[in-house]
Amino acid sequence: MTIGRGVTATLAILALPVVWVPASSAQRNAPLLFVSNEGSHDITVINTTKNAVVATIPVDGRPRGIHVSPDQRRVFVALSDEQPNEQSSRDAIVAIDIATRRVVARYAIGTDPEQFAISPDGARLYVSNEDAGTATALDIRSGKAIATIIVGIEPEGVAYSPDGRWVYVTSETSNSVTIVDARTNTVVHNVLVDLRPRAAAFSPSGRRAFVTAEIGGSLAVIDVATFAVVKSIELERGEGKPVGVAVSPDGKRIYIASGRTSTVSVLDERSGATIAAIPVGKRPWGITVSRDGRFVYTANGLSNDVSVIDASALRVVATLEVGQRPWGVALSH
Amino acid sequence: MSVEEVERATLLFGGEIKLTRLTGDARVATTANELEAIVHRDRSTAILGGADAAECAALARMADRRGTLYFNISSSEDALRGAECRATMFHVIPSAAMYRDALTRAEPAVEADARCVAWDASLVRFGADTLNQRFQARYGQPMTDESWTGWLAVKVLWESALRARTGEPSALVAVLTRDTTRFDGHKGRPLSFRPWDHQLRQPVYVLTGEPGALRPVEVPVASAANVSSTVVLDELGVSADRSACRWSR
Repeated sequence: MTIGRGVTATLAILALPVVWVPASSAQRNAPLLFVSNEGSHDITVINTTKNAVVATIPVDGRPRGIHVSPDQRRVFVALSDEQPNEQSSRDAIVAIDIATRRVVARYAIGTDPEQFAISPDGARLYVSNEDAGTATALDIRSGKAIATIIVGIEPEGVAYSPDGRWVYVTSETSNSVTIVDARTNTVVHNVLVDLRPRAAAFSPSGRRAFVTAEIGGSLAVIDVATFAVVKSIELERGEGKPVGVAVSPDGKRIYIASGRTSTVSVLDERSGATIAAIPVGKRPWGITVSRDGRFVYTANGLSNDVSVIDASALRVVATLEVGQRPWGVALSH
Repeated sequence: MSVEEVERATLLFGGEIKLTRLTGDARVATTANELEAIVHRDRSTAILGGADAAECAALARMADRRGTLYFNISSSEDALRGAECRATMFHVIPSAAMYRDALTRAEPAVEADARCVAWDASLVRFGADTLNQRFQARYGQPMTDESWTGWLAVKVLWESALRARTGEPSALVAVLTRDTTRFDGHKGRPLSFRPWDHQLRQPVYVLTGEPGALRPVEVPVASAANVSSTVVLDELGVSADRSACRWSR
C-alpha cells in the first residue's frame, strides 16, 4: 500500500454528504437552537454548547414562526410565499425531523401563515391567518383543521397556556387579544390592549400572560383567571418597540426583544421594573430562553445574526452569523 | 374595508356601530338637507368626508350645529385648522403647512415639482405592507391618501368609542384630545391629535426619484430613541404658539 492511495481514501470520506450521528446522543449532549431566516429561506441549526452553526436546512418558502415539538423530536416552521393574500403550495407549516433534518410532514393551513403555537401535549397547533382575521386549530396527527375561529383584525401572535387550556391570539390592527378556550375551541373573551400587539407569552405558573404592544411601547400583563389587564408596563420610557417576549423558566424575569431600538429589555416579573436594557444585534424580533435559564437568544433581522445573552451578566457574550433576515428562534433540549 | 373592520370590532367587544355610506354607488344623500336628516335620524356620532375645502367647511359647520363630530379626511387647507377651526372637527389628512415643512426638510434634494403625500401604496415597513396588500386584494387598486385617511378616521372613531365605552361625541372629544391617547396608522409611530388645532400628528412621505419610479421618503426623520416623541412630529406644521385657532367661536 502506498501513501498516495491512503490520501485518496480519506478524500472519498470527506465527500460524503452527511456524517451520521445517533440522534439521542446528539440531543442529550447539546441543546440545539433553530433559527428561521425569512430572507435566505433556510433554517440555521446552532449547537448551543459550542455556539457553533452545525447545519443549514433549506426550506421551500419564506420561514417565520418556528417552534420545537414538546417531545423534542421535531421543529415546526411556518412557510409562506411572497404573495400574502393568495394561497399557494408554499403556504404551509412543515415539520422537520430534528435527527435527520428532513421535512417529514406538511400542513396546508390557509394563506400566509406567520405565527403559531403547539399545545403542551403536542397534539394540536393553533395558527393565525392574518388576512382572514381568523385562527385555525389543527390536529397534528391527522393534519386536519378542526376549528376556525374569528379573532381580531390582522392577527399575529399565538400562545398556549402551560396547562393547554387557553390560546391567546394578538391582533395588530384591532389592538386586541382574543382568548380561546382550547377545550371547546370557542372565544371566551376579547381584551383591548395597547397599540399593535405582536406576541404573547405565559408565566410558567400559567397565572399571568404578557403581551407586547409594538407601537404602544408597552407590555400588558393579563391576569389569566379574570382575563383582565392588570398592568401596562412602559418600556424604555415609551420608546421601546417590543415584539418578541419570553419568560425565564423560574418565572422571575421577562425578556422582551425591541426591534427598532435593537435592545432586549429585562423585567422583574413581580414588580414590573426594568432590570436592564441590553443592546443586541439590529432589529431583534424572535427571542427564547434556554431551559436552564442561563442564556437568552435573539434573531436579529437586519444584522443577520443571533445574539447570545448571558442572563446573569446581562450582556451579549456571543454573536453568531446566521442566514438572511433571521426572524424566529426555537430551542430543543 | 372599514365596514368590515367596524363589524369585527363590535363582534369582539359588543356594542353597535353603524357606518352609512352617503355617496358613490349606493348614494343615499345628495343634498346637505338630506345628510342633516340622516345625522338627526341616526343620532350620528361623526361625519366623515367632503370633496374640497368649501364642502369640508360646510360639513363641519353642520356637524357643529348638530353636536356631532366632523372628521376631515380630504382637505389640507390650513384655514380649516386655523381661523375656521372647530372643537368638534378633527383632521386626519395632513395640513398644507405640514407638507410644505416636509418638502423643505426632506433629506434628499427635492425637485421643484416634488410631491408630498400622507400614504403611499409602496410603503412596506411597520405593517404598511399588510395594509396595502389587504386594500389591493379587496379593491383591485392601490391604497391612496384618501383611502388611508378614510380608513384611519373610521378606526380612530371605533377605537375611541371602545375605549370610552360610549359613542357620545363629547366623551369622544375627551378621549381624542387626552394627552395619553395614541393611534396606530401603520406608520410605525404612535399618532395623536394636537390639542391646539386637532390636526393628527404623523410622518408624511416626500416622493423622490425618477418619474414612474418614485420612492417615498419618510419625514421627519427620527432616531430609534425619539421615534415616539410628539416633539419630533410637531416639527411639521403649525405650532401651538403660531396657531390662529380659537375654540370659542
